[in-house]
Amino acid sequence: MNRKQRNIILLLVLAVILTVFVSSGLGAVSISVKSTFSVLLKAVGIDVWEHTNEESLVFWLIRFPRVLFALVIGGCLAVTGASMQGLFRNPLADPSIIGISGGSAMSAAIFIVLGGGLLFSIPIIGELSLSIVAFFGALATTAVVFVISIKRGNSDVSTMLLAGIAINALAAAVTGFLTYLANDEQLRDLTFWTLGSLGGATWNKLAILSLIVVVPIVQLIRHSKSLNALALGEDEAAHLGVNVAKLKRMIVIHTAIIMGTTVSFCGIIGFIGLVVPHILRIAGGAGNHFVLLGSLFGGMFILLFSDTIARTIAAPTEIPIGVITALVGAPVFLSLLVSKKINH
Amino acid sequence: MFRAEDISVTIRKRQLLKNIDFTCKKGEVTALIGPNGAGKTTLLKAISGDIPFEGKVTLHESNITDYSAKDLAKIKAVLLQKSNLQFDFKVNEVTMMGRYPYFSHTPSQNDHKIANYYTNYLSLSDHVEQVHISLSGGEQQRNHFARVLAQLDSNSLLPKLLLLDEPLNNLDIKYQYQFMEMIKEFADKGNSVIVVMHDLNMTAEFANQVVLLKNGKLQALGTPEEVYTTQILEGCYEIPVHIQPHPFKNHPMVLFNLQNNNLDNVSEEIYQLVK
Repeated sequence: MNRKQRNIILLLVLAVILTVFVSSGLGAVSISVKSTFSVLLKAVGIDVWEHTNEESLVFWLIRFPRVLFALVIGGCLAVTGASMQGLFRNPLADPSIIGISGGSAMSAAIFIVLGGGLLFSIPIIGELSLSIVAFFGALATTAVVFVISIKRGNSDVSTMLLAGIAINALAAAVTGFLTYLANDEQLRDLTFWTLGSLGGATWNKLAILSLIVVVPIVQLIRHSKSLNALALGEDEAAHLGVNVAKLKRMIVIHTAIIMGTTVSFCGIIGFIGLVVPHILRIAGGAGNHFVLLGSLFGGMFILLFSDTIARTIAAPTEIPIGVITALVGAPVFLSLLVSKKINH
Repeated sequence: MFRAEDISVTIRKRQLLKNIDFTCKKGEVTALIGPNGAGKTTLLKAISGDIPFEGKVTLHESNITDYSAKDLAKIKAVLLQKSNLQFDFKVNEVTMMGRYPYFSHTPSQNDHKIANYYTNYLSLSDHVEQVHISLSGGEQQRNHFARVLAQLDSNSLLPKLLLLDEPLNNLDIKYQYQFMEMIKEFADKGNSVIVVMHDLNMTAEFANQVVLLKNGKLQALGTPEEVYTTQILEGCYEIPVHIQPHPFKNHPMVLFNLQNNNLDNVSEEIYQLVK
């Protein structure tokens, strides 16, 4: 990475830290930045500033898990988006292209509408049953897409793309049909999947999510060098010593695990995986070490920022997060495209 | 030393290459020539491992499939005819891609030094910060050539093998010569080069060995002096050929006598008409 790229990442890290403090303070009970510091310092045994008991409770039980949830999911969305773009050698790719969101939404719809009440009665699993179903739905559709794309032991990326489109269409049809069958309450639950929400954040979910995604995220970032070589084309990458078949398998599996998990906890949140890597490439160049690492922090920042708006702008109600990410992301994206056009 | 033994390629039940045999010694430039559709690029793709083939390809007495991908990448590099780089990588980043087999996560100081060296070597130092896909076709080709040379700059004692598919496309005559001289210089260091060529005179000047193909079969193999005979070339290219010594260099020169041939046909027609 060059100096400019390092500075951009440093800036993003600072933006994330700042947003964490601001976001933790905003809401029905407002907590000042000083109190937030004080609450955090108390946790490590330093008792300098004053804060009320209420502030401490709201921070630990409501705000902080949700803030961390937004950070983890934002990072996941952007890093997998960047990896998919590298794999498909196309700046318009995102994880939904290999059937992840369609598959999870379909299985969630089947679960919500056609019942699955049986699972609810099992302790621990009951609370997470919808997430578990959605996770395996995502993995299963991705597996189908991947297997269809294999030719002579190597997955063919353009077949993968077409299979993904077909599977997504099929999943959308099933979801649509189930929406037609659903009653009012089921419809509300279904909407959660299409627009996404971080409202369900708890420490338990955060712990499960983080445990599952940390290794795949690190793996994707570690393979940035191979993604650079892949930008030349598959044959060229192989001539440089890249095991292309293994690389593609690694990216698809890790992306499916990461996105299957995030989608199962918070529904489909669009635009971040597409826009964040793109903005970074325009700002600092195409080197994937920079793009992936930058996406991690850029995704964290944008999702936390969007979620803060989503839950405060129309308080006490919440606007679906997908609406905000598109509202914030689309104009930024368009302005970059226009400025790029002018510069050329 | 590189050796291709009994190479055949069949794709979709069509036999594109049949029993091709040749050797490329260290220090030598071998040119693959022949008319369109002869199988030159297919042969290059087969020996570089891009397409499945029957037969055996060995490098330094070992089967090429016995090398690990990384080890092979340090002694064998391929420059394809058309590269379709995606995303806005800069010129120096593209050269650096050639260093892939040498670093694990971030390039070392030495990798930077080598990448810079070859970017300068291909006279691209003024374009270092430019985006690769904004360059002209010839500049892009030079950038990729810098990349493969950077790839083979290792301290391995084994001679390197460089495979090039029509590297002179898009280049003006000055850079065509510069490229060929660089290729020659690379071979002179004890390495082997196999290059698909169209220009027969450029081939005669720089190649030690010529592999002449037609319809997927080997037509002739030998030095340019041996292969460049009126009979062989006319049989292959199906146009009248005139071969003479180059006026100030020590290799044969090929002239194509297409116009006269047409005139002969025309005069023949007139003769027939008059008759």
